[in-house]
Amino acid sequence: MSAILQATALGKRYGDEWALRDCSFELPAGRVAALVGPNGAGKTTLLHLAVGLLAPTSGHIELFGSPPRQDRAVLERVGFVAQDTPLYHGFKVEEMLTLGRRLNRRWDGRWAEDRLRGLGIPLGKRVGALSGGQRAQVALALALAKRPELLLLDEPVASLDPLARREFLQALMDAVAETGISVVLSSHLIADLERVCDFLVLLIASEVRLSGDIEELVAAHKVLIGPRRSTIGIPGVEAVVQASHAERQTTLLARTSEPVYDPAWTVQDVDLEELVLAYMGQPALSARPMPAGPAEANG
Amino acid sequence: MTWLVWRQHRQQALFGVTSLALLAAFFLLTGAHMHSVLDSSGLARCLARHGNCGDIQSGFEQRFSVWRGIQPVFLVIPLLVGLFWGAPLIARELEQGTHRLVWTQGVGRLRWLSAKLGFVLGATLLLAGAYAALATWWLAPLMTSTGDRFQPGIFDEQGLVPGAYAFFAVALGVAAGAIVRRTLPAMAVTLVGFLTMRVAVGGFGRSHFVAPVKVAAPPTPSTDLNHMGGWLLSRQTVDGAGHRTSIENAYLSCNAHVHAPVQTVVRCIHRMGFVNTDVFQPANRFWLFQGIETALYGGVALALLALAVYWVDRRVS
Repeated sequence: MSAILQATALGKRYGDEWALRDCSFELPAGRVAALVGPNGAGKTTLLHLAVGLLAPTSGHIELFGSPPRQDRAVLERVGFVAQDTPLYHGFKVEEMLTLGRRLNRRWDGRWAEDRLRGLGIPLGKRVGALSGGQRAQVALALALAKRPELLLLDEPVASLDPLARREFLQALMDAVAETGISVVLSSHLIADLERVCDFLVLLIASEVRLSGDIEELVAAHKVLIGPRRSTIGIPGVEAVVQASHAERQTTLLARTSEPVYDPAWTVQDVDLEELVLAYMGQPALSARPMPAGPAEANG
Repeated sequence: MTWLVWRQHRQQALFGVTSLALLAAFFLLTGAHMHSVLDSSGLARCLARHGNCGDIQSGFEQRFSVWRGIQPVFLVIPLLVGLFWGAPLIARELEQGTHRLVWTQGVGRLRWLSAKLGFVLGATLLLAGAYAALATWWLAPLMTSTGDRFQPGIFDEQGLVPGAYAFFAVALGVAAGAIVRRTLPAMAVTLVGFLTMRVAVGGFGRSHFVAPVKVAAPPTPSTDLNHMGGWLLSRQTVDGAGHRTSIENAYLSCNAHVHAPVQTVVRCIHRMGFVNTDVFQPANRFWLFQGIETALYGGVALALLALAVYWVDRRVS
């Protein structure tokens, strides 16, 4: 069994609104996945479904092959850091660690203490007196001290300043290198995660638009620049993600199935941020007139 | 879980215990004084013989008028427990998102909830029970003096019901906190809900717990018009022609104020056809009513707790 997290036609509805719809993807073990999407796309809903805080309205989600809502034991293998890294602000740092020790069967307190000491976070200080970056580090240490096989983090760096952001992601990467843990990190900004992630799940308007290995995704997409003309039927182009037309020139961001040799087009590589922004610019799948195939967006 | 609940709520617990200790000191000091004066002044003995205790009684009342005056303050105490122990219990966690931290450790939400509820409800029953016992003992001399323990507002400060009110207030606060998810609004809901329930039951429901007794008789001096320890709901006095009047008027008409012999007054009242109709709850129903009211509040509290459990289990993420 290679998938550590598997969603199948997963959906969550609040009243008439679908927060997440028909969501299917697999996360292979040992990956650091970026869960990316604009605010309100359903990232938090997806993570809450993954840790059993929410029950799905339709479909199902499995961690290590078990539904987390029914099988709580599976949560022992999962570390979760919720949005805004909630901690008890009246507790001392060491009391937060006591909390973790008391509430978990598997717990490596010494490791967490060493880690926090190494980061220069005093164990005797009240959580409320720490900086935002330090609090995020405490939350991360708390999640990692469970010795989980999968770590889920909901917008962990959103509220941090650039330096604290970098330190947090560095600390996370060190832990990944040390333990080989699988990670899912959510963010509305891909730039935050580009350096640390190797897998992408792109969530837009409650739907999974794209998922897969980042290198493969980037390699499969190209920017094509050519004279203004029809964009249908270019050999090698599987689907046009985004098209913009100037007076005499057309620029396409396209998913390709094989190299494009048509001399009319200049072919350029894309970077991850361009790719993600192109997909975010598309209308929602459910709002499109045609079933399946991606349509052009004329700009 | 016990460690976490204690660590989180030890400050509130300490505050509660300290407040109770201060109240207890006040009750014990002033109460002991009242009890001793009740005995030493002879009021207790006099009342036991159903004598006319006019002077001793008014002396006693004068001496302790301040205590009689401040006693309505005690009506608020159960509400405070609901506001400061009940409402924040779940609301503060939901407000700060810390429930997500705890629920994703190795502890399920129902175990988390039962540990928290067990602690706060246990503490409430323990402290409210001690408080109610003290308040009842403290009020006893004042109640003995005037026999008004069944009166609305005073009935509510003694016996079983203070504990029931506190239990209800906490349950209301917990449920409001789970549903509203924020501490201050939950406290506001608790305040309004508690006052509504208290006014509805105390002002309208309680007098109908059991059908009241209705007694119609000529208001002679030998008729029991005081209903010592009972609860007079209504009184209507009519003269021989059926016109509404008052007992005072009846006595004036029969010259009772000029020290006419009792027999003359009695004959006069019969002759002129005065009839007084009292509707009341007799004194011996005090504990029955205490029991009914306690069961009522306890039942509503359990329903609210069930709602809170359902809400946390199904509607919170």
